[in-house]
Amino acid sequence: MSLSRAKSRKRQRLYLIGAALLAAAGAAALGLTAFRDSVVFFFSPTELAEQSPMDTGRRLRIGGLVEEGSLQKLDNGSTVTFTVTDLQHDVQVSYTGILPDLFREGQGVVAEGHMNPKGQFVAQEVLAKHDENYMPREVADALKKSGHWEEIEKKNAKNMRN
Amino acid sequence: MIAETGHFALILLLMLGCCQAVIFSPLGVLFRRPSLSATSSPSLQMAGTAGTITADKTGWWRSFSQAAFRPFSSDNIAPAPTGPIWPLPLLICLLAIGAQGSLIYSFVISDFTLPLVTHYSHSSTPVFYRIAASISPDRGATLLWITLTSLATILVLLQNAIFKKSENAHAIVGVMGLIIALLAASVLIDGDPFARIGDPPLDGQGFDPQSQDILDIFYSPILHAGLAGLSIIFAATVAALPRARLNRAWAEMLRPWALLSWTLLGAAMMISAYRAYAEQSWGNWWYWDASENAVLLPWLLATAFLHCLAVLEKTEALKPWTALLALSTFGAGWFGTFLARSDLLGPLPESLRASGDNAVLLIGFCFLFAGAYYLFSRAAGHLRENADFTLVSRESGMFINSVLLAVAAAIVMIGTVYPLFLRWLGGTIITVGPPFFVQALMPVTLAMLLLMGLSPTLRWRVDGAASVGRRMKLALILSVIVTLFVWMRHIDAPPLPLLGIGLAAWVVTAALGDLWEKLWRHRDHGESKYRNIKMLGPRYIGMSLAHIGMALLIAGGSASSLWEEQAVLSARTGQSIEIGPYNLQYEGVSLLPGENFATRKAKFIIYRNAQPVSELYPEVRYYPIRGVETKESAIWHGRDGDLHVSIGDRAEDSGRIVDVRFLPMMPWVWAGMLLILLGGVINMLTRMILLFKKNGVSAP
Repeated sequence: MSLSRAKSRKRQRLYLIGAALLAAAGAAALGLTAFRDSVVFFFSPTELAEQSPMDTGRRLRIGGLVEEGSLQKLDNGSTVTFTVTDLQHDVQVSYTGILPDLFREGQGVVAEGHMNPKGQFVAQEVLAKHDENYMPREVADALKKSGHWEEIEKKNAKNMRN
Repeated sequence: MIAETGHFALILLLMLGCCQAVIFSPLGVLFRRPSLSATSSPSLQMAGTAGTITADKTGWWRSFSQAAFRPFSSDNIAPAPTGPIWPLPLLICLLAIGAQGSLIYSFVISDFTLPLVTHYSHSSTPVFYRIAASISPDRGATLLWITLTSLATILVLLQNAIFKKSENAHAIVGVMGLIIALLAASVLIDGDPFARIGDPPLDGQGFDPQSQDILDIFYSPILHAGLAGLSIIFAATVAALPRARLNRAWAEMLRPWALLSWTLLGAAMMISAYRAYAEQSWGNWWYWDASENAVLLPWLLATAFLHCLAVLEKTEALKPWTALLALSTFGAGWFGTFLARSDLLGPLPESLRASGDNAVLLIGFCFLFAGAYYLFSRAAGHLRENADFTLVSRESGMFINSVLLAVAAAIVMIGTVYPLFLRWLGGTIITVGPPFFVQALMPVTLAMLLLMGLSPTLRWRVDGAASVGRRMKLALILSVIVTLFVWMRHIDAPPLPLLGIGLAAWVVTAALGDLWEKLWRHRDHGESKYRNIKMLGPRYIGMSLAHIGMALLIAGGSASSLWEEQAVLSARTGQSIEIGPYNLQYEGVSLLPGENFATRKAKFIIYRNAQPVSELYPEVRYYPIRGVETKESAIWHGRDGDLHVSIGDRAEDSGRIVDVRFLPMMPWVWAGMLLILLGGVINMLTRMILLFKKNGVSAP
């Protein structure tokens, strides 16, 4: 009796440990292979300029401020182009589709897509699932790196007061 | 004044939660401390406990450390405490409702001396959405979580009183008290919703326009009710662990809770998916962002738990694994809530960042789950069970599937947390988006689907591979035919979605084949076939519905991603747009007033084979309070796919930008989600009916 109980206890522990190991190993293996292939890196316009020319097949994210007055409509307006800047370097972005609700000139934006051979960024997605006062964290970091964060912060604070 | 009352209620609730945690403590069960558990009246108990703790702190600590590091045995445990159990939980529940009510009242009367109200409401916000604003931003939502958790405590006591006395009722109430106290501390310290400011602004900043939607309002209550259900599961497991009594009675007690919270979490996910789908700028119906993953994570683990609980109830096997899942499910729920609320992952509104960093929520999480996992590690080796099942058996099928679900949860966790970790380490900013999750989860999902078709037909304990093959022959042939058929019609389709469709067909045919077997091939002992339907039982019916729903969801998701058609163009009034099998006629835009917004509503007439079928009204709304536009898409669920139409700005040539998408088989996704929910609801309802009828067929 006690022998069989000990045996079953041992087996229990075995399958528990086995399951945990299997789960951990499986998750790690799948996660790592997927990371290698499908992780998207974020670039500020400055980093993009430093690393150009960029591989055109690579999917990446860029972010910064939409430069005032840079928004242009092509093909009757279904395609738009605008300039994203971190106040040191610029990159031109083109996007086909309806821009998200919170897209504004002078505001922060994050776009995902790839570079084309002309050095233009072709966005598949323009992301804006946030509140109108919010600066995407990546954009804030990029602006801090380029040293222009404080003036933007001041401007935003002024806007919020109005 | 009302807000102060709520504030006071919340502080009182925190203290009472601590009292409840101490008085009904599982520590009292764990260590032989008669003063903690043996006295009869609660007031005496409270005084006694306080006395012992303050009087000989060192003695208490010594006995604690002795007990904690003493080798485990079920003999050194004090008898289950007796005494009145109702007063404290009832009082806490009333206080929670009071605090919640006063916060809602402050929103309804637009009391702008509360910064929370200023942030999320405005005098022009409709009353309905003011109430929504009081429960959806993080502070209000945590308060709602407390209220629902205290209600769940009352419900579990009712369950205990009416149906079956649980030997652990006191300990469950104790753990619930601890959870409530931690949450209350988080509300009070992380960002007090009842804090006032001296010079209030004249008006508020308004409710977030993107959340102003009927469906969105139900999201927060449903999600937090699900989390409250998970906390009961957690508490019952922690309460049962010191005595290692994870037996059939424990499983029976937890089954309604597991079903309830699983269904509620599923409903919350469905709401968030449909909202993301209908809000044009939010991308796809499932975007793998942090707030979505925060619900998916506990849902996956709850699914695994639900299956293991069924095994445990039937055969008393898989005890340690089930206990681990029970703890981890609530852990994932709590951690997910923390992730979604903190601005660690972004993008989150500034207003949320202003309200604190949720440190207490995180500390509470660490404290609670470190303790729970410690208890688990002590008890894991002592959970007696008769785990006599072979590799080919129902138990093993369900066990492997629960492991796969746990792997899926781990992948979601890695994908959500890893970017955060990298940024914290060295500032590299990466994004883990849909491609990662699809690629990493695909193999797991496919294996899961394979087993999902197979395991419901397996026999308990022992089954033969050959007889399984014989039973599954028809389903196998049918699903291969379906796959070949789809492949022949779309010869250039990529293999993975095709495999998804084939496996979905496998699950459906296997489930239907098994149902047919049970209904018509089964002996009816001279009675009517109707008896066979009654013999199926709530669990079988619920399970079949949920499995078929899952298959439809996978098939629809695969197909719509494969054959989606999209057109973005500038349309003039009267212009006709061809997409998929449909023709859309644009009828122009009219400017209309809304409750607290102005809207440009476009009209589209859908034609199929030159016959008008329906009309669609996508909108662009302008909310003057926040100066924000939102684009509300209009969706038509057709026989062969969803038509998804949204409008944008005016184009250069005086037309209007129109984004039209045709997603074939997308209705399958929604139908699948509904079936999964229906499976949970039907299971619960039939169980309840059977329980109250008593003379019905007992659940198998």
